[in-house]
Amino acid sequence: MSQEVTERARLEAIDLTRAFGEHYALIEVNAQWRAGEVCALLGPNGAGKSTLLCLLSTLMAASEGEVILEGVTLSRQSAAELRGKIGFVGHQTMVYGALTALENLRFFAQLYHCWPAGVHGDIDAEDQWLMESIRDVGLEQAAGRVTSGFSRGMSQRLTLARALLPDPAVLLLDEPFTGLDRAGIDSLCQLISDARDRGTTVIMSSHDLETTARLADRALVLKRGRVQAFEELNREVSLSELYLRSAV
Amino acid sequence: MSPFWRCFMAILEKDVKIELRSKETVATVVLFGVVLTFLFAFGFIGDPQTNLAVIPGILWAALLLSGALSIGRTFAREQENSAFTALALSPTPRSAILAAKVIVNIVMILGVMLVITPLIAVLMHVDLSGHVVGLSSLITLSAIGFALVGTPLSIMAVGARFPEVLLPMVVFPLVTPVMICGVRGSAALLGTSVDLNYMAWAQMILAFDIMIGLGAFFLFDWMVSE
Repeated sequence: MSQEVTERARLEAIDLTRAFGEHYALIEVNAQWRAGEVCALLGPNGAGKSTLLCLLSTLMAASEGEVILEGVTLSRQSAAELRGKIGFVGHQTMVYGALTALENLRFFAQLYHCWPAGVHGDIDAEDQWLMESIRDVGLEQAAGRVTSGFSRGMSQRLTLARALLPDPAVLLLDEPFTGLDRAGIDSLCQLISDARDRGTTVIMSSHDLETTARLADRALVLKRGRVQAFEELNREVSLSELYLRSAV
Repeated sequence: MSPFWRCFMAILEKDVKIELRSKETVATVVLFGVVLTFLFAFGFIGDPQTNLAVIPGILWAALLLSGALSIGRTFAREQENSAFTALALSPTPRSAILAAKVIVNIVMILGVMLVITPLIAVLMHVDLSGHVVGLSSLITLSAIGFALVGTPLSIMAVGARFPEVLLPMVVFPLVTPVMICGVRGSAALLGTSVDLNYMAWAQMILAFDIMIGLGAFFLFDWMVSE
């Protein structure tokens, strides 16, 4: 599904502006993201990274400008359809503490109706498919446990499994490495890398430049709500250089 | 199955499963309702005619206060770990979220009233057995009205600093017409008021339910987005 749109931009932000009263969190942001790329979203605190992710995810409405996903302009009418194509991982784990890992994924699979063909309606087959997602994030031993007892790392992995469940065209990650140990970070990097290989557009905000540099193909640097740089990363342009040059 | 029904059933099933596991809302609301009933009953008990006259007020005060407690907990499960964000980001029709939450609140309020009503009758030595259908219809319509007003407004409690104060301040004035009709209707039913037939009061609550229901489902999408 995700590999269909590879030539043109999968996701576009056009003159995106968001104001909170008198304060402008984002000012005329213009950017395009391709399928199968990881874009690092960088900037100091208050630069507008989380606001941009909220606007791209449909969680927040823009004051001005528009978001276009796979050629469809985001509006109140199109939002419900487009939400099924967007995965979001934020600061919070966004899982139900009273449900088990398997029940959490089952609930969201029902909402997204993302069962593969031939699986829907057969509880055992559905569980088997959900267990594959749980296995992918290394939580198979904890699948039947309620998530209130999960560590931050385990919850974060389950959150990513939830976000990846509908095989989203766009995966938005807001500080995904916060609170994870080295093993957790490595595991998360692998999952993000796998998603990119499947053609998912990944946009990720992080202050962990070292880890982000392992994944990012491009970087968008924000400062006081404005785009300071949006460049391909390569041997000549490293992430930390770009950040120092643009944001500091 | 349409997206609405699929998501409605999923949210309802999830809420029931969590409630059966924790029992925190049921236990709190029922206990609160019972304590309230005892306080009212022992505070107002008098001769049989006085008892009959105060019962409508006690019943609807109990519905109002227990209902407020119930709607305050509507999105409590979603507040934990910001699960509401995940729900809002899913392609779930907003109307399905609202419908499932309204049903949960109606069931919760009716459950409490099912415990409270016979308890009041016993404590105040009043025979309500001849008015079961009339009282049930008035209480059910009032519970529906209360849930339709309170549930969409409880979305404001998500992320608010003092939701337990904010919510009653907004909800109580809006449900006052339902409460007045409920009290007057049950008084007419029990024969302590003769201004209108109880059916007329029930029809007024029904009209309120329809109007507020349409408004709630129309505005909920906007409320979630904002």
